[in-house]
Amino acid sequence: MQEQANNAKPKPAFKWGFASVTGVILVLLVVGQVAGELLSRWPPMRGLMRATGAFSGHGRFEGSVLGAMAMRDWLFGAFILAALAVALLNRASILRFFRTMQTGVMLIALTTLSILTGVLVPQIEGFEDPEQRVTVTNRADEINKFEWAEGYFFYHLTHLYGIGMPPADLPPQALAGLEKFGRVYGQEEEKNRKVQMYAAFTGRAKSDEIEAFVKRHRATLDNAFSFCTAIDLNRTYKSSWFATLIWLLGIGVLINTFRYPWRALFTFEKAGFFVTHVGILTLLTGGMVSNLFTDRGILELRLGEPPEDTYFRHYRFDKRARMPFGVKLDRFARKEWKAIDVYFPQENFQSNPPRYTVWPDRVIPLDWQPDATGELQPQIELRVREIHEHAKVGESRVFEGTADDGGPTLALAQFDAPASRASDEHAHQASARTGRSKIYRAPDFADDRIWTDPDGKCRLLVAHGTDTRAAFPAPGDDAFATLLIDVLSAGLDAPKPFRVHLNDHLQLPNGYDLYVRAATRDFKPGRDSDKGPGEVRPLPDQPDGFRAVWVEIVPPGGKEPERRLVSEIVDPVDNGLQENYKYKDVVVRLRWDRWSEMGSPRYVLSWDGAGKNVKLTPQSGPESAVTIGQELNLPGDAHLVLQALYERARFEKTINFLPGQIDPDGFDPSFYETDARGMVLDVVRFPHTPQETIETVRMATSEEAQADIWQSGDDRFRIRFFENDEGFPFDWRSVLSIVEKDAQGNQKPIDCGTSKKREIRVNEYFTYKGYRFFQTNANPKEPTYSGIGVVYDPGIRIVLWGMYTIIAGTVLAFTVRPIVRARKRAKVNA
Amino acid sequence: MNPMLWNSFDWLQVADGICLAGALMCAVSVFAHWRASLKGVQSHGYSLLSTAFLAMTAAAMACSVGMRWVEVNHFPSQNMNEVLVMFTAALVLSMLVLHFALGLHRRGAGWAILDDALMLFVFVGTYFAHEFIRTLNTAQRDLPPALQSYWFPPHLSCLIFSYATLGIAGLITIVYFATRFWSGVWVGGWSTRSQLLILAGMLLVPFAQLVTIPVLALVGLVFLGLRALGKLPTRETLSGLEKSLDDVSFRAFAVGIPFLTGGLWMGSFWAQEAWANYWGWDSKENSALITWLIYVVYVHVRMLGGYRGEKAMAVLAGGALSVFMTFQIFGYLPDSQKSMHRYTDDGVQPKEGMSGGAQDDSASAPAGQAPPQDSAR
Repeated sequence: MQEQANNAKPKPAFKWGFASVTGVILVLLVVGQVAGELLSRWPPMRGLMRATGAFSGHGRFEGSVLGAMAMRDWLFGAFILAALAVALLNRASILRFFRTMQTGVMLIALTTLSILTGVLVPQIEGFEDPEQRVTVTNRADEINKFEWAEGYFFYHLTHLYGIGMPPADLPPQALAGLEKFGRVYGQEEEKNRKVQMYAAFTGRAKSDEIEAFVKRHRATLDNAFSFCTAIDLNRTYKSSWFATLIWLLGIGVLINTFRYPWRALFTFEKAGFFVTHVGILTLLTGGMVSNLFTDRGILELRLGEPPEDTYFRHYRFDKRARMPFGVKLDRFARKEWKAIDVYFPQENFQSNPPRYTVWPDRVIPLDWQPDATGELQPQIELRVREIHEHAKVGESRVFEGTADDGGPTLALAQFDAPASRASDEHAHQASARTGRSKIYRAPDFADDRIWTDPDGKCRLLVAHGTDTRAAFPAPGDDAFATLLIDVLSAGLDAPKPFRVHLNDHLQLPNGYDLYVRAATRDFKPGRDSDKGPGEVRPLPDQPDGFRAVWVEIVPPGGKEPERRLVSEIVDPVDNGLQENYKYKDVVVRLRWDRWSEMGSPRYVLSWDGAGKNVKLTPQSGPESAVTIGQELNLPGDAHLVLQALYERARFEKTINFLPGQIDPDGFDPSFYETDARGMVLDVVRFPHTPQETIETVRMATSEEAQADIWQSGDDRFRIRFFENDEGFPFDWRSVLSIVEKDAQGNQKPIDCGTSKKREIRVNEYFTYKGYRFFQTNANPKEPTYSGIGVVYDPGIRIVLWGMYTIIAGTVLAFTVRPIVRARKRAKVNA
Repeated sequence: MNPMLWNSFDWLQVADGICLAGALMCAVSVFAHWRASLKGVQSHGYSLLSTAFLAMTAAAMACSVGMRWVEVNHFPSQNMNEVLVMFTAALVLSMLVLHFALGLHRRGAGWAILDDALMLFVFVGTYFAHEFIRTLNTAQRDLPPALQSYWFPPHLSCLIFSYATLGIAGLITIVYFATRFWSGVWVGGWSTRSQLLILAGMLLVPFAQLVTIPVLALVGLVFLGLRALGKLPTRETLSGLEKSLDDVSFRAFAVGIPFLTGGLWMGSFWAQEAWANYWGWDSKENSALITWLIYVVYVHVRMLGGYRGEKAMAVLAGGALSVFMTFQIFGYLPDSQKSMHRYTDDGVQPKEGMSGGAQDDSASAPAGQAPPQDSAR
């Protein structure tokens, strides 16, 4: 028997293949997912998690966790110990499992697949927060996002190469309009707008089909969402199964990196791969540290407010954490891109002109006309010579031109009035001191002929001619706005204007109906929503702010109506909103009528062509003669004084450019000043021809003295220089300071160095006690607010070292090794 | 700026002209090398001319990228038009680097044919890519604050160069599988299942009409020509060719992978500076990581498992497909709808620099979502 036993061959070791390895890993993932869920509720683990929070300043120990243990918790603890014991006893098999090539490859492959899952299944909003789940509150939103994202993906997957997608044809009128546009702004601009329009047309039809696709498969998609939620596929990277996979990968890398003797690892052949693996281990270690200790959120600071020590965790308003110190916002500024646009008034383009960001030496060719050979040549070239960060607009002189000075006819009334609120930010210092400024109103420009009292007591319209009564709205005409509506598929020559009241019903081409549901004179993004205004006061009682209306568009065929917010200052096409609307075929723009809307009493100031017969006419009551220098008899405290009247107004602007002041350490305090920006521009007519003329123009981004506007002598075009706050800013910066409480509980400032050291920008952070602060948010409507990202992450440095090491290892393995090898081989051959 | 200087698109046209001439030169070179290989003669003269055209194209592309940099006043990778020009520039440069790194032209006339063919694909691909680029929106776009970083040029350049190089490695795998397919048809030795699998892969891969189908057709034409001449290669010759293609594709991969690694992790270095978050699990980051991991699998199966031939080549082709998806199809993927990296899409407001505001806080709505100021007066 004994001999038989001795002669028995040892049982051959199990040979791992890809399938068996995959099976084991998948089982481990399931165990990991279950164990992870149980661990998250296991008192010792909860205590540990709270304790680790102590490193970031907001965690705490809460006494003994053992007292909170129930029987099942003890059982779970026993299970963990048993599992560890089994692993220890079978360590040889486990090592062999991890040392097979198949295990290594499958761990990487399954990690790849898991990450791919996270790309193919939309992750829920705020998934970065480990506590975030799909709940009753967010389920509807998440399902909608899931359905749209998957619908979008599968629609394109089933329409490869665009086969079966709806065709997109631009109406001939639109093409003709684009060609005219291209003649002025250049063929490149024409092509770009055409590309955008085609995208909008295809996008519209595609969106409809995707929505239909989603509707058809709603039940399947909902089930898919529930399945993904059940196994955490929509929060893949924070799931327990994914953590298990990364742990297994880390163990595999660890075991295989050090499986050979040290000497073997530092051979020329293996060094690169060894370094790479060490890098991966370092990276995973750092990731684990980050995972355990990281906290992040946003700190909302405002200029002039006391230090703040509480931030919103994971950008959520309902989760707060406190730092062991306070942070104060000492300085903040947001600077926009400097831009110009060029209007050609005679062309009557419906869409907005292109906006050109300007920098020194930029050349903008415009007004393209065919030359003798038929080739298009620009008739105007704008050459940016200088850009200045600080410009001061001096008192400008307005004077009456002569009939033969080549300038345009420009009727103008000049008043002494309270300083404009809109221009407060860049107001001229003189007017900021006195609170009053010169303002101009032009009767020939619809947008510039009405003045409204800052307190809403009255409004004044300047008019040319003697029939002042005709300037008032006809009795009963109290339309508050004009809607300019274009139905693209109808191929209208131009958008159709509709003067509207609340609850008006408009019948549009191609069977669309439009209802004016609500309106506001003071749109506020927080209070008002896409669905309707939060403001309950009647329109005439609302303050003077951003105008907006809410319309309901009902398509033909009884389809679902669309509720749409239309703002006066946001062009739906230029700002890309049109593409997101349900009925993209219908373009609605708003022109508020500040004169005919119901509201404060109306007055008309009129004069004849020679600046005589000046009179002030109230809507109800007798007119009265006005003389230059006289205060107008208007209600309210504005004390508007008529200073001058012009027929051919000419401006002589004084714009001075000031140098910025940069501290020796590189800090630029002038960044935080609110000066206007300046520009010197060469306006070249008939460039590169014998008729070329150059006029050098100084401009500033201030409305003061119309320093931001330049008009050509022949009235062909008008240039506007402004700070473009429509998209992302050019830059935003904050200077922070730190305060800590002393033993008596008093806040005392901490010396954290110069302003330069405490200044943060998007790519430059400030660190204090392990907390990193970086510029992440701002609001152009609230210039004193600065959103500061806060992160406490002790793992960052470890991870970065891991990444540097991986790069070094890869270069060693794949660049240095082959080169050295080739040289050795060449030597041997030689 | 002197307006008489050629602009970026003029330089692109110059590059196109050289590409056409270079493609013609490569076609002549293929023919000459084929004849030389039949006679057993070494011939490098034609390769030198093709390489000169490649170098000239690279110079013209560098001028185009440089001019665009001046025209838009920042590193030109802010819209798809600029990124694709960078890619074609990188493609030409990669081919130039690989021409010397692989040294195919030095291995004999037969190998020089492959070198010529790769260059021919690069010339033709660059030309047609430029045709496509001209249909895209070319408007200048301002850089959001987060992109105003010194990491922007090296991060983008490394990734795009690696995409181009790994794309060429992927092209070699397509040549490999096309050769496998046609050798199976005309010489035999492969199962019908294997043949069908290759054909399905070639036809069903996204945008097959741009790469896989033309390569399959070209290799098919070569086999047809050889058959007509009665010079179909033997099974042994083909086996040797496949081994060599495997070796060449690995070398091309070895040139690209350090750049992919560098580009990927440079993105992390940049992200931790901008948002103190080296990895945000954003879908673009994830797509790039997937690509890198597929290549890691390739290294392991090839270097540890000793895999050669179709299995290793299939993984390498998978890597190239992942590069393509990350680079061009990313915008269609479900989780990409809320990605912070969609700054090359038309009409999509980039979210770079906006890590968000506290939710439900009306007073501090994120800047990108607040209505703009009344700048139009």
